[in-house]
Amino acid sequence: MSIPPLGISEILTKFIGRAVEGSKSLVRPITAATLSTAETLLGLIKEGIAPDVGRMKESLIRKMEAEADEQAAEAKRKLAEAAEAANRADLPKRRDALAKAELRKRQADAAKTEAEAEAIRVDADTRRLQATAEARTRLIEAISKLQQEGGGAFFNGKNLQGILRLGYSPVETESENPETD
Amino acid sequence: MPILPTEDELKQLPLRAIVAYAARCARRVQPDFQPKEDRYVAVVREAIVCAENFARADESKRVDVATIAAEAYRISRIHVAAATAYYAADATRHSIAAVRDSSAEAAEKTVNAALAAAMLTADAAPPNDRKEFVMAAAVRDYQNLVSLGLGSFPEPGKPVDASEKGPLGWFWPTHERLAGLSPREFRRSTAHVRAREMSLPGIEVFIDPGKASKEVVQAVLESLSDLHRATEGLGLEFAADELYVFATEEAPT
Repeated sequence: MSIPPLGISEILTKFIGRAVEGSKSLVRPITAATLSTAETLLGLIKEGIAPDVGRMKESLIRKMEAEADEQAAEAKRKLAEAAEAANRADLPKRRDALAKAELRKRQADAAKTEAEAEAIRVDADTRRLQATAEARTRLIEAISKLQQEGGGAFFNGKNLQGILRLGYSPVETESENPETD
Repeated sequence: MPILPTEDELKQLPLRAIVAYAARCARRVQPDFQPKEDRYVAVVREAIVCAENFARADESKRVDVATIAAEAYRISRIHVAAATAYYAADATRHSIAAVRDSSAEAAEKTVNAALAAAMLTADAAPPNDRKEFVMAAAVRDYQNLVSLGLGSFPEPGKPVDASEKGPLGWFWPTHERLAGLSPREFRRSTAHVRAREMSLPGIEVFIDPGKASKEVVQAVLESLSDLHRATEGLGLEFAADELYVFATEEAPT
């Protein structure tokens, strides 16, 4: 009985998804959106839908000399094309999202009464919760399809927790000089 | 305004999940309870912990749930957090009886206690504009509990961790948490987000294409970007960072 050497079975490419920047007035919603996204993805790790790449043995993840392997080079090319196509396909949706965000802001600014502002906020929150649930379902479906084809999508728990920590850590200057309500 | 789960909807869940739901409602208002007497804080904490322990089937600590619930009941008029903690303990007490005695009546009382816990937190969440966020968070918990498929009523069902470290996640989802903070906390939070602005790191995603086509991989990335937009962002832009080989150990032959 012999133990064969480690077999290279999977090729992982790390992508960094950066939030698209918006105008100054949209910075906070975009930051909150990144925190929400990180939170949802952490949920997928917890539910075992998308494994945490950090849980794989460090020794089993080795940086690759891309040119050394034809199979890896082809996978790299395919992934690069997929990322480019995703970014291209995203452009019209991004313009649409920007228009919607600006419209929401205008509506909120135009609210004449507290009740009106409240109604706009409640409506936006309801729509956001619904849209997030739907987007989460679509992401799970897309990951599932990739898994059916022998592939997989992994997230980095440490990266996601780091994003959330940054987003919610206390503000030093304010904690030194606490405000009074 | 989100609508809290009804009695019939709660009966879509097994008993441990219903108790987990009540415990999380109690946790949301627990920080608002700041009495002068430390022992009152301990009573509320114990009431919630016994509910959480029942939800995750942790029997390492033998506690007298009836006594804990009775103590919580005595202080339930002081503050809504105490009353909610009482209902969480009450749901636990009835669940234990329902399992032990196969009592349909006790199972019904579990549901009623959980309903009361949720309604109390929603009605009394200070300040008043937090109400919708408390309700949205409770609705989210309920939906997540249903999707976890923990079993059926009135069975005890699978254990579930009701804490923030469990599958239900934080008590306050991001937007709700930002908006549900006290005025002072909210100012801090917004000041903080402003200070960091776009300095948040990118989200890392590792893709193994397997035998999938470019389009299948593209769909995963697009879905991620759609998720960001659903939460009111403008989407994500992807760039390949590094290439790894993941080598799996093969079984001895």
